[in-house]
Amino acid sequence: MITGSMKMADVIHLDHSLLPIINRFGIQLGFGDKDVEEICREKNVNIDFFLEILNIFHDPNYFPKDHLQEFDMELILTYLEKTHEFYLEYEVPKIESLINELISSCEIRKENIYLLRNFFMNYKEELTTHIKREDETVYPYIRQLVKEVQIEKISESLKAQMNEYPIEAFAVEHDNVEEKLFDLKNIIIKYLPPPKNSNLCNFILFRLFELEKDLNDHARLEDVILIDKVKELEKGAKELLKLKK
Amino acid sequence: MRGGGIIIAENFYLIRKGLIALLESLDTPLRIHEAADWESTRDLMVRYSVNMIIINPELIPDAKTELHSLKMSHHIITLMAIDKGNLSDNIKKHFDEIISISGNKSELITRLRNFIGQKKREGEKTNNTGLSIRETDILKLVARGYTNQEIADQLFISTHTVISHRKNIVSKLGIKTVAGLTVYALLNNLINMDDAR
Ligand SMILES: [Fe+2]
Ligand SMILES: [Fe+2]
Repeated sequence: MITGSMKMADVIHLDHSLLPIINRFGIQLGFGDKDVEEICREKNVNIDFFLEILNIFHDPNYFPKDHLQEFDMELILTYLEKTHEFYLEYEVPKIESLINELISSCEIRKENIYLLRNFFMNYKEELTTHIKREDETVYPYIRQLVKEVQIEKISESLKAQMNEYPIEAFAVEHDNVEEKLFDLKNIIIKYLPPPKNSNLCNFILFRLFELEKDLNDHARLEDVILIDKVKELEKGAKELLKLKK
Repeated sequence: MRGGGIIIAENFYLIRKGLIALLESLDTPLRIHEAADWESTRDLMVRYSVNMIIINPELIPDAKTELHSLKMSHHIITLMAIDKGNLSDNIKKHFDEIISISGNKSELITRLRNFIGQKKREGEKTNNTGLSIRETDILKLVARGYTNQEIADQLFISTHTVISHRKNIVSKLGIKTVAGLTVYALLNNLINMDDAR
């Protein structure tokens, strides 16, 4: 369990895969001897939320659903958006360029790696569509909902959206974007004739494992925390509409 | 022959035993484990190699979270939900198959048979991929983009049979998506580039 009194450097020594998560909160390397609490205060980061996010990533069996649902919607949305950004702007292009590198390092059987690249590019497209839809449609809807429930005034446009496309509809459609990654990993592990540069191939595989874990963690936050919170808000909005009548 | 295990997780004794009796009547090589609650289900998963679970989703205290973490484990477990008529779509989508307890005997048997993918006939040969010749034929068609119906028509079999073959292919190869199966088929020269388009 990661706590506020731990030195940030020790947190990284304990689990270095947390680094990208920490970055999403605007915290960068060069921690010195500061502890988590100090750094969060300096960077204006909500420490409770920060610790929970680190801990659920660090320990897959830890998932304090009730506590997570208490956090402010904006806090959750901002974190999810940052995660999207990390996938699309950093991690996925990085893997893509590593696959390209793998192609150029191969002398024979290049076509196998082309297949792999093709597969990955399709995956990238799928992931991009998935994320865009959340960034451009679903999250803005949630924000509007939060705002209007707070001021207790539900607009016609929100009402229409709530009827046409409530969060339940999103929940049902919300698909498993990690399935193709799972396949890609297995193709490399089990079926791809070993490319010449096996170190590079291993490296790509490691990154795929990391990305998959990150995506799973992200989807769990969306499916379990976000959606339930929005359902509560929708209930609230409907109550308000009834009162008005 | 694939061994492996299957868990029947259901709190109602009669339903649980009923499902087990039906499974046994199919003469499956699967090792059958039973559980009446979620904790013992998890326990069985840890102790045995389990690749299928038939479960009443109500037993899972926090179904959405748990089903997510199940997916995060590394091997493929196929899941069938026991539906007593009250499952939401949101829960259903996490399952590969649904069995409704109100079904009649033959419906129940067909569902179960499809789920456990029991189509392997005596003496059927397998090639070096671990797939049977029939499975390889089906894989080729899947990789070339044919639908279950089209495959069924071409091979003169039912779509149920196609689906159950496909389940076997997925669990043998560890590849779930059509795109992934296509890459596999290309890598193994089961189809060529032109077929894939
Ligand atoms: Fe997302
Ligand atoms: Fe998502």
